[in-house]
Order: sequence, then C-alpha cells, then structure tokens
Amino acid sequence: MSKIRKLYQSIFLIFSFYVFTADTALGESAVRFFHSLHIFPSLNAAFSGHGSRWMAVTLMLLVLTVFFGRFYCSFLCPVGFLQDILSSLAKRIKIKPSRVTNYPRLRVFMLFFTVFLALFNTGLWGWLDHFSIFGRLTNGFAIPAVNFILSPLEPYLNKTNYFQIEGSSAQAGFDFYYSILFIAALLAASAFRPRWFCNTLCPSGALFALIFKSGFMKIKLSPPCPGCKKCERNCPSGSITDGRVDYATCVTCLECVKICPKDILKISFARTEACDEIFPESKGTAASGTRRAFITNMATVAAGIVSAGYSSKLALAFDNVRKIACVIPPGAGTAYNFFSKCSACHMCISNCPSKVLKPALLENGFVGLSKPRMDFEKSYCGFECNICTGVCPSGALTYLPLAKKQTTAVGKVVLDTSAKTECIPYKNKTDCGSCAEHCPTGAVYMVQQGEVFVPKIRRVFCNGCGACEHVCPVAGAGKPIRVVPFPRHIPVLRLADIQDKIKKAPNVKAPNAPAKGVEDAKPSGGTDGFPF
Amino acid sequence: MKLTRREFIKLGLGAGLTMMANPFSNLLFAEEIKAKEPDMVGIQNGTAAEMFERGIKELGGMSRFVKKDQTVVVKPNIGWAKTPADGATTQPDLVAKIIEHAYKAGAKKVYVFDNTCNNWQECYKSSGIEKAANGANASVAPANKEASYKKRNAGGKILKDVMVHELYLEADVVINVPVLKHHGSATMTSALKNLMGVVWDRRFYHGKGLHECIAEFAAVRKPDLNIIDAYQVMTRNGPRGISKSDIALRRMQIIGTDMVALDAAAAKVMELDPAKINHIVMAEKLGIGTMNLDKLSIKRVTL
Repeated sequence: MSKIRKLYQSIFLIFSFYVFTADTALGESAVRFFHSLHIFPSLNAAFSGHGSRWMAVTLMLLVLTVFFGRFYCSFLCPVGFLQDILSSLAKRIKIKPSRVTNYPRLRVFMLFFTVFLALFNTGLWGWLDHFSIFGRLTNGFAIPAVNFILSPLEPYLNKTNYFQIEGSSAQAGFDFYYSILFIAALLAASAFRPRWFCNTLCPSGALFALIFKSGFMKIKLSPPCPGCKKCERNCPSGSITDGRVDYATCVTCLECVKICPKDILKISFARTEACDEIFPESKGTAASGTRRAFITNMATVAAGIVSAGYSSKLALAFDNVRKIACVIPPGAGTAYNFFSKCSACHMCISNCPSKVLKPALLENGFVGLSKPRMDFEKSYCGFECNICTGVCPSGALTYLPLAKKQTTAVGKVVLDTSAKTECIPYKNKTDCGSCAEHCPTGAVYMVQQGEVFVPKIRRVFCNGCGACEHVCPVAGAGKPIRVVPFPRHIPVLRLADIQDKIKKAPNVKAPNAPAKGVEDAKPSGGTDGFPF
Repeated sequence: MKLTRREFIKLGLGAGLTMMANPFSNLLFAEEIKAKEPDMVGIQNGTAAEMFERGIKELGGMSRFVKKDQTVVVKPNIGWAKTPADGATTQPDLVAKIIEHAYKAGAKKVYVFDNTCNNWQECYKSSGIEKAANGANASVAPANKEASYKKRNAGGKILKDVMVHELYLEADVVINVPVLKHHGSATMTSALKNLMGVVWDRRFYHGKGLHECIAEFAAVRKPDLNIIDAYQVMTRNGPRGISKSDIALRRMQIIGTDMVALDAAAAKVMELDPAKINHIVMAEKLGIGTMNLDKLSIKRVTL
C-alpha cells in the first residue's frame, strides 16, 4: 500500500469514527458534509423528501468519479481500508489471493436491488450499505470492545471529566456478534478475493463502477510489457489479469502505476473504448454488445428490482408496524416512516447523550432489528435535548426544534393504582415521588393522600420521555409506572403554557423584596420582612 | 488537617471538660459564643453573591470555617439541566463567590460536584455552575459514575451502608449550598435534602423511606457550613419546575451551621410549617440540630 493512500485512509477512518461517536462536537456543517459523502443515506433522505443543499456534495462526488474514478473506494472508504488491512494480513500469512474476476452480474443485481430497496421504502438496504455497516461496526463492536479493554482502568478514568467509559457495564449485543461475523467474513473474503465486498456486495461500489465505466481517468498498459506481473500481484482489488484491467473492479488506487518497474502503466485521461465493462462478459459467453448480453443484463436489472419489491413487501408484511413494543426516537413521526427509512447506521444511538437509545433486537419485530429504540431500563430521554433528530443521515428522523420535540409524544405514561400496585406510596404508605420529581412536563404530579404524597397522572401533558419509568425505584419488570409506545407520534399540550395563562402562581404571595419605588426603604431591624 | 485538629483540641479542651462536669455549662458556653457570632444569619434584598458577602462577614468570615491548606467541597444543587433563571439550581454567582472566599481563607483546593438527576454534562453546563466554578479556579468533579463513591455506614434504622462521594468524605471542609425549592414528595428541598446529591443510590432512599434516609444520612457527616440560596424560590411543581411562573423572587439567603435550624427557617420562607416536614422533625430527633429557632441567635440583615 502506498503511504499517501494509507494516510488518506487513516485520516478518513479517524474522521468517520469521530463523526459516529461524537457527531455534534464537530458542528453541523462537518457532519452534513460527512453524511453527504455517502450516497445511499443521502439518496434515501432525498427520496423521503429530506434532501438538503448538501445533496450538491453527493452529486459532486459522483461527478468527480467520472473524472478520477473510484477514489472514494481507494482513498477514503473505511470499509475499503479495513479490507486492505485484512488482505495485507492475509498476504503476510502467505495466502495467495485468487485472481478470478468477481461476479459482475451479482454486482449489478446488488446495485439495483439496493436502489429499489430504498425506493420501495424499506430500511433493508442498510444491511448492504457500507456507511450503515461501518456505523454498526463502530457502535456495536468498536465502542464495546474499547470499553472491555479499558475496563481495568475504569476506577481511574471515571473519576475524571476527560474520558469516561462504561467499562464492564458496556453491553455486547446483537451488533457485537454481527460485527464479529461480518469482520470474519470480510477477512475470509479479502484473503481469497481482494476487495470482494466492494466489488460484489457494496451498492455504492457498484454505482461508482457504473459511472467509472464511462469516466476519463483510467489505468492503461502501453506495450511492450515484459510481463513481470508485479502489478497483478499488488493490485489490492485483483483487477489486472494478463495486462488487462477490469475497470469494473478497479478502484483507481494507482498502486500498479507506482509499482511498475518499466513505467509502462500510465494514467490516461483519454476515454478508452476497449475495456471490461460494468456488464463484462467473460470469454466464452456472449460478448458485450450482443443482443444476448443485453437481454441478460436487463434480466439482471429486472431481477434486482423485483427482488427489492418482494423483499420490501415481505419485510413490512412480516410485522404489524402499527404495534411496537418499545418507544422509537422523536422525529420518527410514524413507526411506518421510521422502519421504512432507517438503515440502522447507529448514528443517533452513538450520539445520544443520555444513552437511552439502544439498538433493538426483536422487540420491535424483524423490521426493527438493530434500529434504535428507547431503553428506559438504562436511561431516559433528556427533555432539553434533540440531538438524535438532527443527526439522521437517511431521513428516518426529521429534525425537530427543541420546543417541538418537547411537545411531541413518543408514548404515554400509565400508572398502576390498583390494589395490587407495587407503587411505594400506595403500597407501603411511605413517601417516594421519584417519578414526579423527574417528570419534566408535569404529567406526573404528587397529591397528598392521608399521610403521604401519591403520584397521579395527567396524560395530556406526557411526551413519553420515560424519566418516570427509569427512576422508579421498584425493581424488575413490575414497575407500576410505565410508558406505552406510540406508533404515531402526536403533539401534546404544555402545562407551562396553560398554567401561565390561567393564573399566575396561585399559592405564592408577593415576593418579600420591597415593591418598586420603595427600593431604598430599609426596614428598621428586628424581624422585618423575615418570616423566621 | 492534623494541625487544625490539634489547634481545635487545644482550644476546646478546657471548655469540653467543663461541659462534661457541669450539665448547665452547655448553655453558658453557648451564650458566650452567641455574644460573638450569631448561629444563623438571614439576609435579604441583594443578589445571591452580595447577600453571601454580607452574611459570611456577620458569621465571622470564611476563615472561621476554612483554614490554610485545607481542601473544600462546595456542594450546590446542580440537579437539573436548567438555566439559573429557572430556579431549579443554585445561583452560579453565589457558588463562585463562595469559592473565592474559600481560597481567600487559604483553601488549597476547592471542589464542586453534584450527582445530577438529568444528564450530568448538560446539568453542569446549563446551570452555569461549571463555568462559574471554573472561573473561580475550582475543580468541577464528576459524580456520575460509581467509581467516585465509597461505602460508609450511616448506622441509621433504615439507612445503613450508603455509597457516598469520596470528595464529600475526604474533604476537610464541606460547604452545602442548596437552592430552596418545593418538592413533590419531600414537601421542601433545602439543606438536608441537598445532601442526596452526594449519594450514589437514591432509589434506595425513595424505595425504603425518603424522609428517614434524608435525616439519617446527616450522621455520615454534617456540612461545616450551609448556605441556603433563596434568591429565587420554586413554590410549586418542584423540584424540577415546569415554567417560570413556578418561581418567586425572594432575594433571600440563610447561612449557618445547623442544617435543621436552617431548614426550619427555610420552611417558613416557603410559608410551610417545619413541624409538618418529616425529615426536619426526624433530623431533630436524631440530634442533628434544633428546629427551635427561638433558642438560636439569629442575625437578620436587610441590604
């Protein structure tokens, strides 16, 4: 690997990690720029009507690909970098990678499959999109792994403000094991077929390849070539066979140009006609340009679209999206909108300051797998926070200004006041009031009943933040106060607005300070003005 | 700390012996002190910082509480991610002023922390206390992880082993700076209740007996100085508050060493009967302090 490419890849990897873990620290522009470098989330946002001016960056990326090839894949992409590292590791242990061309039709199929999965409103494309995969690797694997590794230092680190960790309490969930499997598969694949993921499964890679096919900057071999095959052996994507470059898999990393001892591999800006294409035909089958090839290609495209259609139908039919078991983040609007747009990139999860957002397993059904849900066992949604609504790259969460977020109900509180309740003031006749203490809206409040204060609820004001459920000291599943999730988020009233209109602080006497105009009138000592 | 203790012992030995010998000397001795400094100072009609400036002077200055090279913990209420104007947290200018006085009295290091209810970073930031404390050169410590807490036996009937923030236990001087607020279940939150912010497991308090635990915790360690910030008083919907109309501008402050007495006075500011607030009554029974304000010398200052 050439050093300059490594440097670019490393910088972008760090940038990616940083965006995924400390998104809001970078400022909105940097984050939006990062999002817009990723085609599928940006496209999905645009499809769902959340496109922004940052789409210009996405288009620019595609235009640049026309001129400079797949520089994103070779110089920036963190998943590509991961594969480069893995295949150079494989090379160290003397595994000889295969030079067999990847499956070109599968690539075309994947591209159309993914595009139409997005168009048909399912978040399923997130399982193929490298951006979302990287997000899950970061949040599901890298963060817990770092926590586990650093857990012996937990007593020291957590006493400071600088670098607190969850340590041993970090959870290895579904995404942890998914990531291990994914990395293992990637390792195996990269060992035998370099950049296999990029050139077979990755829809962004397929789109880049499609554009690159009609692009300008290409690697050309100008004879006479002594045939040392150095370029072949060192090509990180295995795209050179007998001096022929497969432009469908070439990622324009320029390794071959650098390594060629005779300097006969050149970058050419001339449009080349003779090359393997995005629909390349291996020798022996129908040559490109024939009717047969055309039909096969079209059939592949059609198969991609049709499969996407069926998958989306299946995925949504699999579950009744009107019923959810866990609260979904504010900004989602409806469960249907949320599950159909979210690609499970975990951007909101890793940026949630109160850590209430956690990836779901199957609580919200198959469509909710690995997508965020609120886990009131762990935390609750901060009233003064709307970060998650602003960081979604794929349009599953719409930005809500703070005041709007505070008056959007993602669920509603229910309180068990029956004879069998576990609620402490009702059951034990001792004061508790945790729920009302934490309630930011006044939906839960305390009323004196005999010797103790007991909680009561006014559901109209509840926005479902889950603070009451989280802080309730009753252990286990039998909490008397819970939040029932809403599949359709609704606006709520603000007690603050109403109580200000009705009466001004009814049980408060005028402040003790002298009224205006008598500011200088000093009481003559004694207990003047003091109630004690 | 050793020096201080020795000094203290030297000074107090004679008096202590007399007290043990003569049951009435306690009163006599108290009377002597009264002549010098009041037990409690109430100030009104200024900003929180101005009132403290005057109040601590009346009490004999910060050097009465903080000696040279001591570590000091200032424990304000930073419980909620709200702004100073919302009245849910202690006034930041007051916290800064206290830190300033502590350093002037020779403190080696001043720490500020609270085990917040909302997200700790948001609370520290939006309350303005982090900025004010950093500005006054204090160290703002986190209290959001169990690693900072140590087990202590409170020896109460309900509250036995309790995880307490190590700074609260290890500091030479503790200054308790609650903000006076209504509280849905504890009726009122002030000096005694504010100490829940140095405890890790508050669910235990709520689950097993809120008032008992609040009162019994004082046995672990009594703050050396209490400053009740009643500049703004939350009169309903406490302790978090729903809107600004929950807040009354009282421009008042109560300073003293006896948490129970201070809370009793604070209750009267809230127009409540201290005898009806269980944790104050229980604390008095446990000998933490006295609710009987008539027994105390109170200095009242109107600026």
